[in-house]
Amino acid sequence: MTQTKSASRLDRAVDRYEKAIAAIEMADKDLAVELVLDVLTARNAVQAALEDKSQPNPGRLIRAVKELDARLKTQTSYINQVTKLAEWQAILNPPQKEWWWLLDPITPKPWRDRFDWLWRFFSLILLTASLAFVADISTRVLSGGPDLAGVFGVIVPNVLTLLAGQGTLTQNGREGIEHVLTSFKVDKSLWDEFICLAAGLLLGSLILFWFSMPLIADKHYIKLGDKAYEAGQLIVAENNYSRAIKLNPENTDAYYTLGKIYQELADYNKAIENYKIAWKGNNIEAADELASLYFKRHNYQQADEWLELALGTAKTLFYKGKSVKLTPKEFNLLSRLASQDPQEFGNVENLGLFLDDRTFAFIKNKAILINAKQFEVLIGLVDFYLERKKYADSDRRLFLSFTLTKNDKNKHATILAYQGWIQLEQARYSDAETQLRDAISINNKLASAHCLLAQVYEKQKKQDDAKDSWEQCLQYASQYNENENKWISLAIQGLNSKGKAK
Amino acid sequence: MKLAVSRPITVTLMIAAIQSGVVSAPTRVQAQQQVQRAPLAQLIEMTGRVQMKRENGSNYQTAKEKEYLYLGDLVRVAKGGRGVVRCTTNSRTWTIPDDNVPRGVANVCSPPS
Repeated sequence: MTQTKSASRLDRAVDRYEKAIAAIEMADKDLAVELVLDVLTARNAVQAALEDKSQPNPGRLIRAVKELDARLKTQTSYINQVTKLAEWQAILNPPQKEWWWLLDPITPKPWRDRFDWLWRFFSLILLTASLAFVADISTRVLSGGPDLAGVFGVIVPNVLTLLAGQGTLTQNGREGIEHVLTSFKVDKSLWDEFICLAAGLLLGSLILFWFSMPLIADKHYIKLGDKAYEAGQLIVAENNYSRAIKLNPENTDAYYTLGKIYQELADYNKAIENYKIAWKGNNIEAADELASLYFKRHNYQQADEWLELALGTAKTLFYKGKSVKLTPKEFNLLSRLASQDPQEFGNVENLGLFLDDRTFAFIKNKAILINAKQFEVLIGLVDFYLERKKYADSDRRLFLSFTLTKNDKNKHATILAYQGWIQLEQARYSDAETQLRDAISINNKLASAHCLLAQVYEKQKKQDDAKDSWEQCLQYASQYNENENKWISLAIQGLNSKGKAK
Repeated sequence: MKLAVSRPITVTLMIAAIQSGVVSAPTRVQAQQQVQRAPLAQLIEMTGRVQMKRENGSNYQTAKEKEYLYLGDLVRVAKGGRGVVRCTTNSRTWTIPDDNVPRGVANVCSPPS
């Protein structure tokens, strides 16, 4: 009995559904909203009967429902012309499975949408590239610890990339982006193109930011670092320089300054590390600092090697039979000077430089080929070798420096005096006397030359000459110089033993 | 072929060279000479026989109190005498021993290099 009743219910529902569809088909252009609602509610009734589990549904009726659904779908465009189903959906709020309430007008798909997969693919590639840039930017900007500008520089690209990534790769994100695009009234067929364009713009701005990092480093962090360094705020200067280097690792001058900062902070290992990088980047002064630093830390072998690098790469200019040694710094200066108007200079053999006679002579006679720092290390090393009686090493250093000091008479005289000292130690008294006299003829205020010459005369038993030289030694020697301090004592002893000076 | 350097270029080269430290500017040399001639010390106290020999002098002469002493000057004090100099750089006073052996003013008053 129940079975008959249920079958009748489905029968009646299908019958009503069929009649409602027929009415729509018949109405054609005169289709009324009520007819549409009749057919949709009739379909509701069919669904309710189908879901009645108290009895099996006859196959013929299910088949009939399928055929009627197909007929309904063919009416979609007419239905959408009469009424907006979206409005009824808002009132009735049908579940997703009741597809007949959600019939969309059948509109031809724009040709562009056929390439949506391609846009999505491009979006994915652009976002992947953006992520790589964001990772690199974040690492470099935050490596020295966060600051306001750095945090801003990291947060903005990170957030943008995450938003873009989420919008492309997750359902929720996509819905969010669709909401934004809808609110901007962007045509749905252009959404994928818009997303791809946004990903492209994001990548473009990240690339722009990435390439501007050296500029930010130089214009912002280096300036801050310099200001702090001048004000004696070494930690602040260090932070800014470290950050500048992370943003622009090519700035080798920044490594040099950072090395100086670390040296002042007595962090010698870091100073050495930075000087070495600066040296690799052709910062010649870094070799001077390394030689000096190693020497002060009593690492004489390293000091010697770095001094060799600082001086040993000196270049020799040959020009019309004349020659002059130039350090890389002087060589670069020479090239710079010469390049100001190459047309007006002659060619210097072997180096392809352009110089006239006067300029060449000017540089040859005036150029400083060894600076004060290099000379200090050099003399320190010579002292070190002399103290250990390594005369060959002392001589090697002095020999190499001989040409380099030729434009500085005080330094040149010092080199000669040291050569005389070695000869004195080797008991070559006549050679030593000549060498020391030469030194004094260049610089007669050179205490070391007088003090050493006095010792030579003593060895030669020339007592009067020795007395005069001891007096001259005392005239210029300073107790603040280690060697001269010893010689002052010797001079006093020497003069005392000679029965007082006249 | 030898080409002459035009005057503006030579001037530019000179300026660039001076700025780059290739040459010592005349002012620097003068300044160095002035520093060298600045007194290192002053003889602030003397009793007995105190003699001095100037840098380029050939003989010792009796010193005078308050006299300024320069680089290269020697001072000696005979037995029983007393000579005290004060260094100008740090106001250190230095009593010269009365052994009649000369002492250079630079020995104590020359600042560390």
